[in-house]
Amino acid sequence: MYENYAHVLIFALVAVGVVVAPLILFALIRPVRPDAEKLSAYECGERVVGTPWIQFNIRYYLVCLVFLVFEVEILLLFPWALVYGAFIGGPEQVEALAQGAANTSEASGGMAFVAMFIFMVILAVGLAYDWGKGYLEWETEITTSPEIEEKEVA
Amino acid sequence: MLTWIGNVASLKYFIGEIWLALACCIVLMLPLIPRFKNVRMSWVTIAAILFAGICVLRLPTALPEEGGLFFGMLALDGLSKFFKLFFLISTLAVVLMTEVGREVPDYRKPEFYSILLGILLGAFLTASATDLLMMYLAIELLSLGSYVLAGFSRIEKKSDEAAMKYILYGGLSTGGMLFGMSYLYGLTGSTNLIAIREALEASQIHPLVFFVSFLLIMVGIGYKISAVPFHFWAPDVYQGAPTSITAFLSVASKGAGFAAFIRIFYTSFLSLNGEGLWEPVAQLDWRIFLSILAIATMTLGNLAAFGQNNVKRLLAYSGIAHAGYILVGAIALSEAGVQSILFYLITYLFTNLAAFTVVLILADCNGVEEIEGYRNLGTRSPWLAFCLGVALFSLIGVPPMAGFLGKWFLFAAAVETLDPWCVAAVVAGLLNSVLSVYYYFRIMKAMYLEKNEGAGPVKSHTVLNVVATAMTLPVLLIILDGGRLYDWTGELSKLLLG
Amino acid sequence: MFDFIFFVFSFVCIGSALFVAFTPNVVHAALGLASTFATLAGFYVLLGADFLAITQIAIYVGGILVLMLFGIMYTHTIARVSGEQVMMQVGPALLVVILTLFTLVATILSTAWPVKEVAPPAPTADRIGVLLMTDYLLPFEVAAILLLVALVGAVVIAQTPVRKSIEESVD
Repeated sequence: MYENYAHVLIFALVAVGVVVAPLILFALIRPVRPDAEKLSAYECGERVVGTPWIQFNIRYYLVCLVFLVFEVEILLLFPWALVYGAFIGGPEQVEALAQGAANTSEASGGMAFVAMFIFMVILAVGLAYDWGKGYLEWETEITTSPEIEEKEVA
Repeated sequence: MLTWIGNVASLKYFIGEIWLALACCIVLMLPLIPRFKNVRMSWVTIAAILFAGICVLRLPTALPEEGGLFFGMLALDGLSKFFKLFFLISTLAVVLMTEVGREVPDYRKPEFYSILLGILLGAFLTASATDLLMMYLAIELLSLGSYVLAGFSRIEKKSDEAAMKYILYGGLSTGGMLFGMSYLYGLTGSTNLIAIREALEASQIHPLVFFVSFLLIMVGIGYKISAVPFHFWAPDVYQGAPTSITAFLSVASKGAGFAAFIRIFYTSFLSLNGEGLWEPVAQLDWRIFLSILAIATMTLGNLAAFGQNNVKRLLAYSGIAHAGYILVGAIALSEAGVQSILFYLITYLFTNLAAFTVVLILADCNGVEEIEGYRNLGTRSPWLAFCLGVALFSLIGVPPMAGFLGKWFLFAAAVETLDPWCVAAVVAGLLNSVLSVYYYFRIMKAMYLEKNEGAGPVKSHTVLNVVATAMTLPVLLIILDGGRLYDWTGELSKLLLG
Repeated sequence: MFDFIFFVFSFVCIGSALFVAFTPNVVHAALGLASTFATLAGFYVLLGADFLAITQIAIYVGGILVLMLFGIMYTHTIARVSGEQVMMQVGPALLVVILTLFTLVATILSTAWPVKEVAPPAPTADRIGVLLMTDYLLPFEVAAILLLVALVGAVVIAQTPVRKSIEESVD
């Protein structure tokens, strides 16, 4: 297993190296004579107005939250997908995979299917809730929605 | 060695939980369908709780062949049954309190109930989990929902503060607990509580690592039961959270903490000898540690309650002190100790819910949370004052109130062992009970002795009055026949031990 | 070689964790956290837990870190953060940290951990799949409920209308 991950490590090191090496190299050889004009941010010749640190729309955060939950779901799908074939094959095939580390007597394709189905349905409820409430629509401006605000603040 | 029951065969003992999970989804989805938009989700929630209650009542307290459900994930025993009923009663009261209270706006109630049902499921699983992984997941489900509900009424800034404090301290303490569990797993190579005990018994283990592991697990549990020094969150969260959730946290969440404590401690760290006494599996004396924890918890809780003017905060500190009293039952390391803990939890459940219902009526319908607002309640609303009075007397432990019987059984179980640390804890408990009279009586004094000419009659809601009455009556009924209830808790204090 | 890689990972991991703790810029701190998370994934690979390593990268580096950055960006005072860190209670905190560290190290060193000879590490994903569908089926389904509660709870908390007072101050 380690050989495969050694490749990953080498790739990672090369990627970091390709970025870092020129930075170090140029820092060593370039002349440094800063002035106000040079230090200003370059934006196609336009003068920069304001600060880049603006307050983001909370929607990014919500989408990211939803994404995170479904990412966890996807990650749990992978191991299931790998062994689903064995479960269809029956307890003997599952036992060969588990090597005595699991109680495989009940293993069957139907059970694996139902188990994952329930898992997906529960999470689909969450998605449907977000959808139905309009949290996935970019246009609805919830934070200043007058209808809700009235109810809340009153 | 136990025989584990497989996943499919376990389902028939799991109907209550399945229904709770289903209701959690239904409550969330139903309001999205236009036809059902105006259906009150509280009905669905109450139906789910009652149905789960029937399922729990029909559960046997032991399986014919000894074993755990779902390949050793859950236990089906008296302890889990007791705590499930405990959680159901407190959640039912909380649903009623929320439905008529005004802290949660109507259009957000579906989410509220959905999360509450999720928490209830987490509490159910906490009470019956016999596997560290399952236990962690259940406590996490319980905590995660509680964090959200603590900050649910976002109109008040202190509600935000409460949720923030709760989640920050909570995350830290769960992290500690998980670390402690990983030590335990490293020592024994198993996450099953019974297998852990067997592995601990079979090998010589350095007491230090064992103690550190237990201490770290206690960080997580101590946080849930708000034991000193993990109690910092309690006053702020109790004050900031919606009052119904405060009631839930002070009763159900604390109960879940004790359920987890009894389950882990008595299954893994102690082994039962023939005479109804537990003995530590490694050469470690838990009594010293637990009695220091108990004495510190009750003393600090009581001392801090003295200066409080906000009744919710005051009850938070009183809840901390009561966690200390309950721990005295755990020090005894005997069957009578567990039994008395369960008995005390019943009295605490009704007493505290009665107190919080009255607090909710005053906070929600009349807008007063300070003790000054309770002035002259005795004439403005005699029945509510009576309910709160009974609850306070029971919390003090005045004979012959339910709280007195509870404390009596707890302290008797501890004294029976004749261990010096137990006796020390009991003496501290008695002194603290005397101390606590002062701050409980401040409320009593305000209600019955102080005049408040300007205030009119107390506004209330019929449902809330009914809840207050329904919670006060058991406190009075326990006085009549405490012995039978104590026997009943004895039947339910049996653990699946293997 | 194995040890060498381990020490490199440890060095980067602890170094970037310290950077997170001491840098005055929150955005830099979040980026420092990325390298801590990534090196933790490296540890998981070294321990033979490859599926966990991928999970670590996907969820922590890919999800939670982005979430943190959005969280930072969402705070309306980001431009006004002075960049100074206030250190309170340095003495007691240091004492607690050193005591904790000492206890943990003493515990780890003094314990005879049960050691088992194991086969060279093999991919773990299929064994995890089997366990999820057999022994750990219940936790698996409960995890779905946990995720549902987390999803609903997060949306409920994040979507609540901002209070009037704050709204006005934001202009």
